[in-house]
This record gives sequence, C-alpha cells and structure tokens, in this order.
Amino acid sequence: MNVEPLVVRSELAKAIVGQDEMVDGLLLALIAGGHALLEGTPGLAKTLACTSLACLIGGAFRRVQFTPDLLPSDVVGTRIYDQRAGEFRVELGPAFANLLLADEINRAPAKVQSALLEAMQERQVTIAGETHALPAPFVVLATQNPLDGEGTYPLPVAQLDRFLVKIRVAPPTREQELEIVARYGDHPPTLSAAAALDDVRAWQERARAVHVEPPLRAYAVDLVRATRSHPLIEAGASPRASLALVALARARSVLQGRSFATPDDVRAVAPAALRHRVAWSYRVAAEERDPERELRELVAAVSPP
Amino acid sequence: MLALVLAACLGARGDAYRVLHVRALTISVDRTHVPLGQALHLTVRAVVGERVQALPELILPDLTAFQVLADSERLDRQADATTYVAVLTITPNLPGPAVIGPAYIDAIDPRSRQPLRYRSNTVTVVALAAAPGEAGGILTRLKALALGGLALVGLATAALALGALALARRRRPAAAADHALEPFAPALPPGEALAAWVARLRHAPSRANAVGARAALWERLGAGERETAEDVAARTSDARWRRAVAAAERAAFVEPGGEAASALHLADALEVVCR
Repeated sequence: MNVEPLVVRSELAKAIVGQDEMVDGLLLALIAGGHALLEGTPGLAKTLACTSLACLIGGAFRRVQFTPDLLPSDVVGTRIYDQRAGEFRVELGPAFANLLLADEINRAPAKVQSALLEAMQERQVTIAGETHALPAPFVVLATQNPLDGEGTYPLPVAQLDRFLVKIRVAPPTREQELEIVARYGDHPPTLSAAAALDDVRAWQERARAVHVEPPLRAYAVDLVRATRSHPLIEAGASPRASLALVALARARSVLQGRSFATPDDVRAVAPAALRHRVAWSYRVAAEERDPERELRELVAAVSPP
Repeated sequence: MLALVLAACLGARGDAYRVLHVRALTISVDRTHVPLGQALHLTVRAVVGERVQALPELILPDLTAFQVLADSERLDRQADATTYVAVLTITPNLPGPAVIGPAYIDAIDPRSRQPLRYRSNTVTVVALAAAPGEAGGILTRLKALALGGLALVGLATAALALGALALARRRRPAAAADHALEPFAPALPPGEALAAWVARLRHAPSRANAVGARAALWERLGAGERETAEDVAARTSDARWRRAVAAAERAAFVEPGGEAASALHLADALEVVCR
C-alpha cells in the first residue's frame, strides 16, 4: 500500500509544533532526493525534526556531532586491522545511512566537510581505493548555528551549493511555545513508522515524472538569472540552482498530490533553493538590510508565466 | 489584381516579431446603432510595456462592411510604455448588424518567448435604415438612387482604401506563422472575454486556449503580471471563482494527454462564474 507524503507530514506535525517551513523543507528535500541545511539557534527542534522524520520513514538513521577534532574517516569509514583474522577490513562510517544528521556541520574543519560533501554529491565513498555506494535514499540533514562564530568553519558558497535547500528555522510564536511546553511537559508524543523506504523511493520516482511546462522552466531560469544581476548580490546562483528549483517544484507537486508543477511551486521553493547560493555584497550588512527580505523581493519581482 | 498587389506586398515583408508586453488591445465605437449613411467613430487602442517609435505589429480590424471616411492616429510614449490610439471615421455599407474586429498584434510573448497573436475584442454595430427625409450619407443616397451596381463599386473602393491604409501603416508578419499563434494575454473587456473563452475552449479544448482563458481570468480578477494562482485566488472569497482559478492553473500546466479534459473542465468552471 502506497503512503502519501502528506501522511508523513501530518505525523511529523505531532512531534513538531509549528515550523511549517522546516517540515515542508525536509520533506521536499527527501522527495527530491537532495540534502538539506538547517540553520537556527539551538533548541528550535532541528534535531528532533530530523530524528522524527527518520523514525516516520523507517530508514537507517545516523547522527554525527561535528567537532573540530573530527576526521574524514569518522564520517565515511576507514580500514582497520583485524588482529584475529590477521587482515585489514573496511569499517563503514555513519555516512552509510538513509538519513544522516550532520549536527553543527560548521564546527568541523574543511577536510571533514569536503569528505561529507563529496559523499553527498557522488553518493558513494572511496575507502582505501575501494568504492562503496551509499544506500538509497541517502539524505544529509545538516544543521548549523548562525550565532557562534568562534571555533567554526563556515561552509563556502561553492560547498553550500551542494545542499538542495537551506531552511531557516525561526523561533516559535508565543502560542506555539505554550503548545510545546504543554505537549512535551506531560506526555511527549511517540512516533512510529508511517511509511517505508519503498514509499520514499516511489515519491522520488513520481517527482521525477512530474510534468514541467517549458514556460515554467524559463521562470526558474529567470529567477536564478535575476540573482546574477542584482545590485546587492556579489555572486549569483549557479545553473545548479535552476536544476534545484525545478527539482523542488516537482517535489512540491508530489507533496500536494499533483502530477504537474505550477508557478506557485517554483515561487514557493525559490527562497529555500536560492538563499544559500548567493553571496551578498558588503552593502547589505553596511546598510543593515535583511538578506531574506531582499531575496523575497527579488523573487517577487520576476514575472511568473 | 488587388489580391496580387496585396500578396506581393505581404510576401516582401518577412519582418521578425518583436518582444512586446501587450498590456491592452481594445476596440470601441462611440455608437452601436447608427442610421445608414451616418458616420461613427471606431477607436483602436493598444498599450505595450515598451517605449517604441511605432507599432507596425498592429493589424487593424477588417472593415469591409464599412467605408472609411477619415482616420487619425496618435502615439504617446511614456518612460516604460507606449499607447497607440487610432480613430477611424466609418460608415456602414448596408443595413443590419455588422461585427467589427478583432484587431491583432503579432509579437513574441515575453514570458514564453513564443510568437503569439494578441486579439482585441469585437464590437457589433447595427446600421438602421434611414428615416424618410433624413439627411443621408453616401450609401443612403446611393440606395435612394437604387444603384446597386454603384454600391458594389463603393464596396470595392472601401476594400481598396482599407488595403491601402493597412499597407501604408502596418506590416503584417509572415502569414505562415499565423496558425501557430494563439492569444496569450488578450485584452478583451472582462465579461465578454470570459464568455468568449468558454466558447473557444468548448470548440478547441487545447492548452493554448486554456492559457489564453487563464490570462483573461487573471485580468478579470484584477491580477498583476507578477501574481501567481495563489495570489489571484486570494483576491476573491467566492468559491466559484477560486475553483475557476484552480481549473485554469491545471489546464495551463497539466501534463500532455490531460489538456483536453482540463480545458473542458476550465470551460465548465468559467461558465459557472459567467452566469
């Protein structure tokens, strides 16, 4: 029996109060087969959302706490010598999971980040000359804290480009916070698998088959190109962003139970697909502008078909 | 002979289409009921979102049922738009109703980058038989003299005048592309536009017609060019209009194979809101 992604979404809402953007972003990344970067201050249920999602789809879930002393082999795996057998064997790392939570990814040095990002891109890792395919689906959910500057290694734009979406996790409203206190104070909700990995693969297959009319593709490209001519953007988004926009629009169509994408799909996913792919000019900070607002205005200024 | 001259002139003009944001294209008359022999004014108005020196893409409506007595045109150029207004003084050739229009603009649609034909609305003028003793116009006098043959000459003259006018001021794009041109953003008066699109969708339930009907629906709901279906639906709380918006979105973007059914569904939804 096929389970619709909306079922998982409603189950996820039992664990996460509010945070619609985060919940939708995670599901879109999962359906589109991409990776998600979650940015928000501690305590906003980023990790809870990831673990809940893993539980609901019944996949293998691993979590890696990124620290400055982490090594690439701690993520992808290594060769170790088995004294009993008298030979080397490969110990696969936590990257071999369906959902990998890379907590505080910006706390690890560039060498570890690039090892993970390579795995994200290639969906395979090479250990001691031997290539190992990662399981399917393989989705990395990485979190980072925007406030801690000390002891962090910010991901460069070129590496951020590997993430399909960047989700901003905002603090809850007062009512939502009251609901969190009530819900988790008495009987914390328990989740059980609502779907199976086969369902996820079926959603991904459906997403790939979603019809995108040519004017819609042109709209996605126009949105991305608009970032390259924006006076406040130093480096605009790459063509990978155009691909991401279309992939996410397809995923949103599946989430909404449609077999075709619409301009609303493209527009809705544009901030999540673009916000980490542009480098804002120094003027944005100097003039105390809000990049998120500038991005929303940029998206609104492009005419949909 | 005239046909040969026209064909030669048209054939020589293979001008490429321009990209134009056609914001409005309408025709109107100052009187819809006019005694035979009296004149009325036909106004053709086009607004494009570019500052242009001329608008040769505009093709005036067919006026073979009328005699053109005089014409004038005006081009107002703003910073980011140009308004073209032509006023033609015309008189009907025969008593009874006569349909004027549509006028056309053939251009590259800036959204789809495809050549498209924008059509104006049509207007119906009813020529009334002149009352006895009333001061008549050219054709009334011709009728009074019962010179049917002369009337035919008048018709031919009108056709020649129209052809000359069109050739002097308009270049018609390559006729071969006509069959592929479909209206994308027609500027018909709102009520009339939707009803016209219902008929067109029923006659030809295609994606192109669905896209045209969607544009007319957007216009009817006062949507701007940067609004999506969610914005447009938010403009009304009436469930019937919201259903029409959803049907239009589906018909415009549905996967191949589903166009006809979606277009007919859109026609049904539009028919409900047109009632």
